[in-house]
Amino acid sequence: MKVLLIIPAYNEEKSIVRVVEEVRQAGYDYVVINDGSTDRTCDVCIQHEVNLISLSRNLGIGGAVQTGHRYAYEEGYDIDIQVDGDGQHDISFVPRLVERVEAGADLVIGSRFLETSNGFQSTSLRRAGIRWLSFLLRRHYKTLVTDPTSGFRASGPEALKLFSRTYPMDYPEPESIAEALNRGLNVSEIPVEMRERAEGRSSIGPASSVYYMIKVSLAILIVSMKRKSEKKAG
Amino acid sequence: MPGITRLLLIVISVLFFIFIIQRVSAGKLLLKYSLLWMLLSALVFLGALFPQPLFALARVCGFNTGSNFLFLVALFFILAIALSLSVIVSKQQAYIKTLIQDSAILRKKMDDDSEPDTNPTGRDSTPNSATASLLQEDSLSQKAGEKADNRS
Repeated sequence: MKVLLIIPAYNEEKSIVRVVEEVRQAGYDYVVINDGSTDRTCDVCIQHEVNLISLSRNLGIGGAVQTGHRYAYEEGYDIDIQVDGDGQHDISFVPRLVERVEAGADLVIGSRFLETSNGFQSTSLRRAGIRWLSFLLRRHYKTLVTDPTSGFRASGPEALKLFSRTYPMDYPEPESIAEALNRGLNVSEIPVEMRERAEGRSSIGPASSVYYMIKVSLAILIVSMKRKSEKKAG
Repeated sequence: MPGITRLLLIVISVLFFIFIIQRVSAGKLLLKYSLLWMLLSALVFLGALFPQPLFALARVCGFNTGSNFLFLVALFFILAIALSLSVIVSKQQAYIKTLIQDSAILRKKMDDDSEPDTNPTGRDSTPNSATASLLQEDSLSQKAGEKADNRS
């Protein structure tokens, strides 16, 4: 199956080249989505002849990743894998993600919490938030996703098609899992280790964490309500 | 309600209605977004012309004064218009997102087509001056846009 790595990058001028070099050395097809960066991300990518799609305005991570899904779909890829542009994700786990898709999963999440590891697992407060979202998904879909906020994930042909058509705008990771489960797609997880980001900061600061939790919880609830009403109608 | 108030309301609502129609015919306002505003001016017009039923309705609903009732109705009306604006903005945001993605993907495909011998993943590709100038232009215009934003 043809695999494409989608690397969204917003103001990652210091780390993007290193990430791309790593991907090139591993020999994967990739595309960097420059999400309207205001630093030199775009110039740096052009200098290093990176395979680049450059959005003229900042759409947020959801809009950027969806661009990658659309590109993958139009270019005839079977699997696309989202990898952060800040170097948090270790691409040596990519073959395992692909393996799981080939075994029949539609969406495979790289989880930090599936096995106890020495890798980066975020702060305890954030882990509590992650457990809450995991609980919501389990309650509504009877599916265990231990790391719903993980941006390290592989989409098989079905998920790729779905996400190229509809993908949530901001804070898309947990919501897109709910969307996939809504369509009856098979979501599973594999254990991965993540590195603490070398450059840049999390897209979610402390002030917006509360907003993040409320927004994402609501999004999951609304998506799950959509399924119930569709079931009734159908 | 004194006659002068009613006359004033009638004149204002008629002028407002004419203004709305003018905006629509000038192409500054889409007809479908003008309907709520037209309805508003029609209600004000009717209320000024025949105030008795309005005040009767206010009494039935338990309002002490007719004006309180009118304020509440007007408030709900404005909320309805504000909500419809949020709906319109959301729809436009979704459209704009798709357009930005479309233009970025198209530009990418144009660049790939202008260099048929390089492989599409960009590995080992030669520098593409067309892309470079396009994108640099773009980042420049973006910076200009930000400056404009800051100024405002």
